[in-house]
Amino acid sequence: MKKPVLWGAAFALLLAGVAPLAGKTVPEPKLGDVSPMMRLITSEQYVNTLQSIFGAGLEYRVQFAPIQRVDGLLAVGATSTVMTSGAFDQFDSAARSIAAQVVDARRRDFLLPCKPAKQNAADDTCAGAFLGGTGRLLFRRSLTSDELGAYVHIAHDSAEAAHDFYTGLSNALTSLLVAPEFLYATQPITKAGNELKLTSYAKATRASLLLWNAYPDEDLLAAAESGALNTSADLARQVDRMLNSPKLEQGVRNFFDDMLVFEDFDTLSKDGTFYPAFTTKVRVDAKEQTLRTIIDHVVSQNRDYRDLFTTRKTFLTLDLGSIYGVPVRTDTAWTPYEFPPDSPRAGILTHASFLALHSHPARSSATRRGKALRELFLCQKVPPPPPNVNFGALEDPKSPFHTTRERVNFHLQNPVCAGCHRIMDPIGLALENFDGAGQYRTTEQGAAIDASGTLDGASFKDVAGLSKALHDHPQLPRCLVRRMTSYALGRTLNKDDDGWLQYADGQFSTSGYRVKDLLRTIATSPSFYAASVKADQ
Amino acid sequence: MKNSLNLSDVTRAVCLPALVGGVLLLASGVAQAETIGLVLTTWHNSGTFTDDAKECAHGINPDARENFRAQFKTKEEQDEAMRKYASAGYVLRGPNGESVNYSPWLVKDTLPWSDADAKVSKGLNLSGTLDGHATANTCTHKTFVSPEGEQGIDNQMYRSMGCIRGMRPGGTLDTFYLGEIASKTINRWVVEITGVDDAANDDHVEVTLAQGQDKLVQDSTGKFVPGLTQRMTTNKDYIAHTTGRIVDHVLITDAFPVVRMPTEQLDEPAEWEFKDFRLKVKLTDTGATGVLGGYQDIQKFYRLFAKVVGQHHVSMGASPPSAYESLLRNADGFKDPATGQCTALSSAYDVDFVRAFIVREPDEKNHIAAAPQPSVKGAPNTRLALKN
Repeated sequence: MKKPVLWGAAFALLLAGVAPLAGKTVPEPKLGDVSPMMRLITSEQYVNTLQSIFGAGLEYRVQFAPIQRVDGLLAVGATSTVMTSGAFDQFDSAARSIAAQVVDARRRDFLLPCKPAKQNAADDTCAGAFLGGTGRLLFRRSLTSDELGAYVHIAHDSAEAAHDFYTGLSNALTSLLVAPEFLYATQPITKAGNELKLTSYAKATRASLLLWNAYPDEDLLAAAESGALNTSADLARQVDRMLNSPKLEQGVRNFFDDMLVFEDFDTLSKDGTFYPAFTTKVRVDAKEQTLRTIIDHVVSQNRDYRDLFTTRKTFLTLDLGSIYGVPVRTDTAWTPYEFPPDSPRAGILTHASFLALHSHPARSSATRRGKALRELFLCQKVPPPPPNVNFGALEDPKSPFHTTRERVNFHLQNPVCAGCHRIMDPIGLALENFDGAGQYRTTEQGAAIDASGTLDGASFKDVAGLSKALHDHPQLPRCLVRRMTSYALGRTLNKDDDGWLQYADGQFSTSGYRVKDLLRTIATSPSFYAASVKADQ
Repeated sequence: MKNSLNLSDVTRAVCLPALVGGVLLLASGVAQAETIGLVLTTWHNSGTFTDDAKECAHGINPDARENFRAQFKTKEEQDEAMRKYASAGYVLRGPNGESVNYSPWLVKDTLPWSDADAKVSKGLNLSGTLDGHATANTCTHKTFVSPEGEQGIDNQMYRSMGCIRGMRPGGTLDTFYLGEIASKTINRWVVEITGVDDAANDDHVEVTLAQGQDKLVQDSTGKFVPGLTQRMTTNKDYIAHTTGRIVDHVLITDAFPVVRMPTEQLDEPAEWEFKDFRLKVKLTDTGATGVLGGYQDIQKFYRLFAKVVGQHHVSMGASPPSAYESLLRNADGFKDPATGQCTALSSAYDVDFVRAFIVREPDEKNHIAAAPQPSVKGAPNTRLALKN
């Protein structure tokens, strides 16, 4: 039975995009646009980075101006964000607060590498030691002697003026924390022969932002400094170290938080008359439940990404128990929970997060849910409604429509609406057994709910069928590949990327749809670190 | 009990091959008994409370400070008492400076005291008589009529406490205790009703009353959210059991011989204790409303009163010697055969509950009281999420 095995291996290689050709392999395709760009640090990256430098004991109260979502991702918007004076104020305020905490009498002895000769005077040697070490981690490279001299000068002058070494050091640290070199992850390039590529430091930053959603740690910077990121073997070693680090959770968490548009939870509200159980705590917990489920599934358990849409395993709090209608022991704030086999709850589509986020304040929405499913998980674009739509018949309190199905069927009578609603509503209707807060129901205003529908040719009779159809949809893993690649690059994808994306599709499939392997594919790809310069740059 | 097994029966049936017949009975389609869980959310003294306190013959009762001034009539006497007892003279006004909170019998207040007197009170017929005549175990007392017209309601606690400012609706204790029920798990009461074949009418159910261990949650309008989980205490002192019945959705328990429950009121830790405790509440999809009560031993109740009310005598508006005397005067239950003096007062409290899942710790029975979701009229149906 050797032949099938060989054929199987060949098929796997084909899927992986590496075709056996007379004993040679086809090289990995290249990504399209690899021109360097700047990326503004996000609140999460800011906190993650500073926590790794100064520890979790400081208060990091940062909430920077929101970044505009571009092509489905905040990470793409972060590369085209301008710094306004108002936005800078928030960075300045955060910098002052953190600098003051670092030099605080309670912390200085273990956060600073030295003590000044005199506390009431400048000490350039001690200031230089601290600012050089910290600046290296903030700028993701060693400071030049001119840069270090300038920051030591700030510390010196401030200390002399205030007769206090620590006041001077605090002002210099504040200056570091508002420097463009820290606030923007730039991608400096270098020339190797005729080829342009990112510098080792820029490679380290790219990999670290993708995998940890933070700037590089000391080990990664040291590797960049020593040239240990320049060979594929060395790079792979560092990527594996990062994939096995606990910090991977914060990186994966940020990606899914971004992909699932979870910043909308900040403004989500429900009508307490209809959904009294959907409290503020439930709103917070619903988001966290899904993120915890994802992290456990794709990071801790390293399971098939597609099974996220059918798994009955999750985590609950006491408060979420009222939404799900199940008892939750609260020996700990979060407790693992597995819905029983006969439960309609399976997969993240049936989580309160998805169901409530894509509903109206006082009722469910098959249209919003269907649209979200197509856009978030299948990367399909649903156009916005035409501006002259008349919602009167739907919003009329005396409307004869009892169920959501009856209401959305009304859309189909209008050809202007029908085109889009045909691709959204049949999916969303399968989720109608869950109200606008994500609570299970079998009837709506006394009428039995029909949760049957279709998804791109696959028919189903209930949400379990929808989850299975989505699980088996060929576009589901392809969408994740595209979303994660776009997230990693910080740009919109285009047709020039197709070759590489198909290669990544194959790699993802071969791995059994393991997200960690997809991250490895991206983070070890030469294309991810390639560079080019456009004529206008 | 109707023709089916309750949950503990089911457990035994599964565990014991000898009861295979029971399993077959279930398999043949006989409905499995349900369990209903409740958690206490509100608590008020039962009785009639008019805005102008016409149920109080002398008006609202004078407080400790007023009685202090009546006891020490001149300014010199008052100043001397306050000087002598470091400004604690209001309380330390026994013959030798004893606290009247803890030795109320040492002083007789001179200002007039009102026992509350009204015809109507929610409550329970604890004595078994309609007119409150003395029996072998009870003393003569006046009974009330319930708002629904039920005769023979016993609530002597209302007579003693009903004219104390802080005990009336909106008074200090009434208000604070309400908040402390919501905020402190020590005040958590849970009720588990098992063997419910029909939530509307069932001639036999099992009822467990216990302390819960988890928080209550209120929605944006202040209403308590049903459907959360409460872990039952494992402390046997705070678990009591009895039987009961459901009549037209009203749960009526038989007597719990003794119910003890820890409590904290006005930040003072104490303990409730009731004998012949009963519960009568109307069950709804989301909770229950009704009354609970029993006989409260004078000494044990006064211990709670002294800690909670006596310590806050000014805001509560209570003078302990008068209150203690009233408790002795109004005692109507648990007659001491040697002296003929009754040692406990009948009591009644208006209470509300919301549905909850009651879970037991692993060493207890592992059954769970179900808590259906609320349904709102005109709103999308949100009921019954138990299949999850």
